[in-house]
Amino acid sequence: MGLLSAAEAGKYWDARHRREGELRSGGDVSFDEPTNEMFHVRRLALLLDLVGEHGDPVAPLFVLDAGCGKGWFSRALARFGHQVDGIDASPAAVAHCRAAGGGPRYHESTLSGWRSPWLYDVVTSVDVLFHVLDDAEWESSLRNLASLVRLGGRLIVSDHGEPGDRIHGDYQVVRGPDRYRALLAPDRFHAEGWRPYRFRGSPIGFHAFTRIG
Amino acid sequence: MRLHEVDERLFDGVHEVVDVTHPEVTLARHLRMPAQVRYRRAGTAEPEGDLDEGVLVLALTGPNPPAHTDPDALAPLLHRLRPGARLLLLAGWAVADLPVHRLLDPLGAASCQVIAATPLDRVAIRGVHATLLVERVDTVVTPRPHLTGSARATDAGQSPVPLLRMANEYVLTDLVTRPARRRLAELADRVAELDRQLAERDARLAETERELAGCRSRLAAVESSPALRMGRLLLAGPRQVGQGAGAGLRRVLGRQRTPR
Repeated sequence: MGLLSAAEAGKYWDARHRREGELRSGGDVSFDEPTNEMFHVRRLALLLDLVGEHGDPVAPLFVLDAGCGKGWFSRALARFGHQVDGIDASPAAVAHCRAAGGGPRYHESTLSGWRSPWLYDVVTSVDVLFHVLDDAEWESSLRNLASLVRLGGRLIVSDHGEPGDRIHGDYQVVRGPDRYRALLAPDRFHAEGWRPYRFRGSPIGFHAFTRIG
Repeated sequence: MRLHEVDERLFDGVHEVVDVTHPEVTLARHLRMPAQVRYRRAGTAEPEGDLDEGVLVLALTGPNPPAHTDPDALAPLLHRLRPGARLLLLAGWAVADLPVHRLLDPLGAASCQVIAATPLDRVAIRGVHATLLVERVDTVVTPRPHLTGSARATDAGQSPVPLLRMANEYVLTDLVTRPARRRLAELADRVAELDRQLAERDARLAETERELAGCRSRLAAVESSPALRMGRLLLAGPRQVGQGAGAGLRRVLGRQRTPR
């Protein structure tokens, strides 16, 4: 089975966001909505550990949720008092996000294409990068997200924790932790480790990196 | 963030806290000091010699003397800090009103660096809005991340890269902040103009409501006047054949027909 082309993947995700419910559209389609609710909450709790437990409405954290889908994580982070920008390439997802409101500002953009004059305290991308199928685009996406992190800020991206690259089906390309570290170390990111989701046998977890230079 | 959360390693290597806040200001309990850390109070101007590494000074600056120490009055205290000594400077100004220009000169002149600037929860301590964790340094260090409470700074070490990054972030952020600052000023002016228009409208509304009340009062007086009632009756008369003008007059004048 071959991988989807970039155009096919774009169509797939836009159709999925139109078709599926609030959580399944960006979550795990093998789970029903209630299970996806648990899955989302588990990942949010892990994010809370990595982003930190402090918020401030006067001087908030600036957070980028890259590949925000229908915005569940963006809205949750905004409820914590953070100032959130959500980006997604799917027009349907972004339209849903804007209709839902809840604080974040949403933009239609790919991960590699987002440009900002401002740096972020936290850049996060939840279960998105292993859906970037083309290696060059994956590198470009990760580099762009990393470039948006300010000194002392944190990059939090999810992928499988096992070493080596693998292909799952026609729309997942898993990259091992070594690929992330190798790409980010020259940009002076300190690897804080990989935190597994530990949810129903999921092999996925968060890589956390802190910019130290 | 609460005061004891501003740096998770605030007391690492600290053996003494010197509290130079006003005697009636009691903030030390919010620090949750470890038992082995000695605590004493002192005045900012007391000639007590150097404050060495391992000393953490607690001070409160702000707009309301004598509870708040004026930034200029902190200068002698800053000069007494030896390399490695730290100052936890609490700010009585709201973050948006922090007079940064009053702090930069005394800090720089005393080789002191702000290594963390943290807003405080409004519910935690009334009137204290932020903390600046200041350290007397020999070489510039990279600052702490915002709002994390984490002591992980960066691997400044001997490498110039983090410091270059810091300088470059400052210069470029300064550049892109300028249009935002200009826009903020425009929006503030616009809000002030809208507030003025709103106040004018409110004033006009109050005057109009007074005029309306006066008109209603005059209308009520006119409607209850015998002349108006008579006029209405006369106009209605032709339409009410069978009702004599006399009966109408009696109604107007409030007289009742005397039963025979």
